Amino acid sequence: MAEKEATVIVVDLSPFMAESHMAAAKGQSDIEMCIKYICDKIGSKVLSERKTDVVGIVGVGTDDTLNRMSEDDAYKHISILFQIRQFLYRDYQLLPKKLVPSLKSHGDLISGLVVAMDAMAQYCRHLKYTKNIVILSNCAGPVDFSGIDGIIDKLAEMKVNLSILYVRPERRLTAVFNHHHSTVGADEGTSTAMQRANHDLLTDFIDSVVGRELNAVLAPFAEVLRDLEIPHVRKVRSTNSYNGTLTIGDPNQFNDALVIPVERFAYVKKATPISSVAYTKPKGTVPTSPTRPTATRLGRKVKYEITVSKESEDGKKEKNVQEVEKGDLKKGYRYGASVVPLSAEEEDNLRFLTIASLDIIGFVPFETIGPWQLLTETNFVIAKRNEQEATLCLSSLIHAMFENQLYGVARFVSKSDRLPVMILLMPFITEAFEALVETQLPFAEDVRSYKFPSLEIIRTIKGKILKEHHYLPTQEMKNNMKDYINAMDISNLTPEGLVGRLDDPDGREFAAVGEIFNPVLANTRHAIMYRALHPDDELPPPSDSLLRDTYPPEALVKQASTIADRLIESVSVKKIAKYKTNKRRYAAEAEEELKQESILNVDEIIGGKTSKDDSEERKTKRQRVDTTGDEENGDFDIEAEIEKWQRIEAGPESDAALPRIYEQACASIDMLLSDENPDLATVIKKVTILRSAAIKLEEPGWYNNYVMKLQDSLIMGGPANSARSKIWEEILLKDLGGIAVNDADLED
Amino acid sequence: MDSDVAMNQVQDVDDDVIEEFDFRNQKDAILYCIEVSPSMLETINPDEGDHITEPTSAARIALESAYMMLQQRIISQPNDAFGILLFGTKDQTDPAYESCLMLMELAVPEASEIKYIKEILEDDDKFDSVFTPSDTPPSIVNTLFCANQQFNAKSGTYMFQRLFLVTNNDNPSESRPDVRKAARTRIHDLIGLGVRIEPFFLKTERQPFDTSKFWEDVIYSGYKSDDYVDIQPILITAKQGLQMKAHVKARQTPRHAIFSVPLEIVPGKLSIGVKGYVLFKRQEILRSHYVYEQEGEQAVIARSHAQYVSVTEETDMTTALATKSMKVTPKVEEIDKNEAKRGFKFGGEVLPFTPDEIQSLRTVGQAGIRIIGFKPIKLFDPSYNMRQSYFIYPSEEDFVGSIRTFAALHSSLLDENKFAVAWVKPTVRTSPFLAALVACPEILEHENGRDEQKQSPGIFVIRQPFADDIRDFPSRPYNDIKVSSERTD
Repeated sequence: MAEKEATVIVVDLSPFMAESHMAAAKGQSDIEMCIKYICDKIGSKVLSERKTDVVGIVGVGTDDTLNRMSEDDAYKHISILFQIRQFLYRDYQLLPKKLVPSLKSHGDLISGLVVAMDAMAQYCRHLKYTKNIVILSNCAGPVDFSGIDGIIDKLAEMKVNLSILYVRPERRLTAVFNHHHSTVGADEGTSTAMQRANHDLLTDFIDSVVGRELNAVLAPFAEVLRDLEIPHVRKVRSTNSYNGTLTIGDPNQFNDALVIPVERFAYVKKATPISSVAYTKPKGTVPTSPTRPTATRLGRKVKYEITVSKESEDGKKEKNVQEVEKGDLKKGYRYGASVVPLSAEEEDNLRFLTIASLDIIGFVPFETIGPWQLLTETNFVIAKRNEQEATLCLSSLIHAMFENQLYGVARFVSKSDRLPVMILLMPFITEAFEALVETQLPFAEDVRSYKFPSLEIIRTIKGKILKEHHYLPTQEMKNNMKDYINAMDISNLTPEGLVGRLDDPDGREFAAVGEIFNPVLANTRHAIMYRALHPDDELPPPSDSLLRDTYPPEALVKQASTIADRLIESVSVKKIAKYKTNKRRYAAEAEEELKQESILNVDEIIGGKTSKDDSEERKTKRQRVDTTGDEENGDFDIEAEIEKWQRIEAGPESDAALPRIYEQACASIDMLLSDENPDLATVIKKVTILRSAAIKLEEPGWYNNYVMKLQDSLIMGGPANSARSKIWEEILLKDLGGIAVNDADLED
Repeated sequence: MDSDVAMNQVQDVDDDVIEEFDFRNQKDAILYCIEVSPSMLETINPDEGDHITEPTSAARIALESAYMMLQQRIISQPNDAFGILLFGTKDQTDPAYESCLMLMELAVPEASEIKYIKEILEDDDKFDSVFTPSDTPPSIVNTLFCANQQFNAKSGTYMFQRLFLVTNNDNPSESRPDVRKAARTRIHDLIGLGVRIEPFFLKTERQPFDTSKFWEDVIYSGYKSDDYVDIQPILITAKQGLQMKAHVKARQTPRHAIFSVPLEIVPGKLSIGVKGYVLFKRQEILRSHYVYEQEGEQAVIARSHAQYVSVTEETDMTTALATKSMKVTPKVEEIDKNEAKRGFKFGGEVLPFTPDEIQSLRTVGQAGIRIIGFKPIKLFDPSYNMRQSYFIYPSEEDFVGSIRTFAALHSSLLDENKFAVAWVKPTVRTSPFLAALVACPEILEHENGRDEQKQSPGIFVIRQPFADDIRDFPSRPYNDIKVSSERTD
């Protein structure tokens, strides 16, 4: 159960707030920046939907006066804009409309604080609440600090956490370097003598509040705004997921078996983004009252149906779909094509009965378990809280495992009658905290033993072992890669973002675990709050600041660039122009492209036009040739076609044009194949040309890439499309399969 | 809650779905071909002094392995097709395919068929009558053609099609070169059809198996050079029946990539192609179904489909006032799919979002793996584990030179004891995450006269948590209790 929390925000709405005092705000007025802050803070509370996280807003400098002490002149122009309550959408969307600076009225900030305290006291009464008051102001108007001692006494009595967020008066530059911002900044812009005077008084005030052992901060607004960029992490109070014993040896059997009472808590657990829901707008015009939501959320109802095949009177089989009631259904399992129904009773009998337990089976050296074998999110196993002996006992086990570099392997049942799992227990020791960290290990059937060829040697067909091959890196490549890896070490960067010395005290680990936030969570959160305030606008692009640390640090990349260039040159990787191959999706697109780029006439380039009769004749010829098994094809002059390709290659724009022409040639084949009865001879001819051209141009990848997709499109059609699979058979028969780069080279 | 109407069960696509999607609905087809010949049926006696192991034969071990596999798959992947083809038998199923006996047609198996195989294994007479060799040695070309027909009949409905070929004949062509050529063509045909061939070549102490005589040439001719086919013969002894089963089990799941992305090594300048695989995955018990059973008829599975409903709670105010108790009768109304919109809850309202907007919030950036930098391996902390790892291996498909560059990266990471920190987005529709790229070396073990690859070389992609995913340490009253090092000795 989360603690109850009440927050009152006191916001300055005097005319000065319409001015801009912050350089970092880029011309936005102070009140606009405050609204940003308020919307973000309150938005999180709205999203959390916690009934016990309540907020109120007090405006200082409003034209009206709306508070319980309004008779007193000191409390003029102070209004409670929002009574303390759980904020809902309809309150939230009013925020920008209500938080408008007055044109003429001024109010006193300290009086505003008193109104806030009064409202708080009235709401919380004697109940246990975490109480927060936040004051937002640029302190440009006079502040009355008379009677402040009484206020401090009251604050202490109520145990209020006080934050004053203000525009820092003096102009100064500070170099800031923290985990998230390596920028130099914090120029607070211009300030008045009044602001400077107020600043000193506020500092004294906060100091005396802190002196009363209260939480109080006085923070410059620019810093607060930067903090807004750091996403919220929703704190989850964890509850234990196992409460039992850790044993070594069976205590029922052996007297000296070790039994330690332990609990288990989540350590790493994926925070899931907010889920969307289905809803519908009510039909017709329903009068919307402010208390009635305008959308109805939808649930799901599951319906069941079966297919019944019946033999009709004339002996034909008919299939009928029939809806069935859930109550008439039984549970069952599939056993191949058969269905095995199981009654609840039978299922109970099959259940694997277990008793909650955590039994260490043995210990293994650290290095025997590869980190890639771990399966699940991790948990802490700690000694049962409040049990001193258990704490000591587990601590000795943790230290013994750590010193001997051993992991524990255990059988674990988290709750009785759950299936047992094998877990790994890793000793975890920090200054303040000790535990065993637990994660699941795979069972034999969870491991897929796929095999992949060695990366060090190449085994040829004949069993010969090659150590030099274009699939294998040379020593030079390896050396360059090692240099690059060391140049791009981000484990200890200097403040300038370069590789630091190992003992550099200012060094920090870049992209350390726990410093990068999930952009999906933050984006979703921002988008929802944005939509709440701007229902008709398009969503803004996601913030870049979240992803800053997911790129290599710029300064480092720059410094390593010569090493990188050496590496790039030695490995000489070439991208293969990718042909858009998803035919269904791209067919129309490709056709369009062809039309547009008709300057490059593919047919002209490869083989000219073949008249229908001509190809017909070829087809019969081909079939005759097939039966003799002769693979010669003197029908057309491949050499001449290839020459054409090479001419294009030698041409001025070959690099850019060639892949495109190749793609178009491929597309032209696809278009041929989109006919219901594609002309086999033409297809084969074009494929032959493509293949030879790819070999001549030393771009086997182009062809291989294409022919692979071609295969898919030809044989995926199923038996209904036997004509197409014939084409593929023919392609294989003519040895037009992929160009085996490796094999070709090995023959030499 | 009424189980018929589940509120808020409408979930978004989670990023873990990437494997679920790929593996749950896949249909796999395996045709298990076993040669029947006098040598396959020859009795293999256990070692002297071994009284537990029973005498057996290569053919029997092969069928036992097939049965074991069938039993496992039918529970874990009941949608898969399985077939058993014996070749070299006296009987034949179809006169067109001489000496080919379809013990089990390639289809989703029926319980009765599985029972039939069990009977054959348990009843020696039945076994002998089925496993009767023909007078003339079988034609391998004919067998492959028969297998082709089995796959062809339902081509396109399977995602992965594999042919398990069990034989102890290392030279079925004898001295006829045309057989070799024809066999190559058949292998090409099968591969062209999308069938992967997994040979299980059996040798015994007395009868060796020389793969170079015939098979190397025939099998390898159809494969791409960077593919891995294990053609090393397996030693069969009476005890090694288990060994054979282990081999069959190892090849149970077809190797296939679940993503294929560029791996960026130098920002903006050097990328290579890699494919991602899942090597560790919990085998869950397949969920149960609702079935409908009628007297005297076979039970059928009831298909379920969800219907959106709106639940409005109508309160009868008059009775409520009279009885002082609110009587709520939920009114359930079915809603047309097109009328249902999606949005996010926010303070008692639902804010509208288009499906595209929801999708774009989930999927930030381009698919790919981007190396951010490198760190010493000692900084890698396994206690931050999130989920099972992905395995990546290079592919030349999109970038020529990927394999050598990957190999250089792989060996450098191992030599320098480092790992790479990377930003990973495996597919277009998944959310990105931070990961550690940890290289693992190839491990070979020499056993039973052959080098067994125990661990393939490659790089594991291990997901690391975001700040949002890390929980605080649980609070404890005895934080200060610790043992001094002496006490642990």
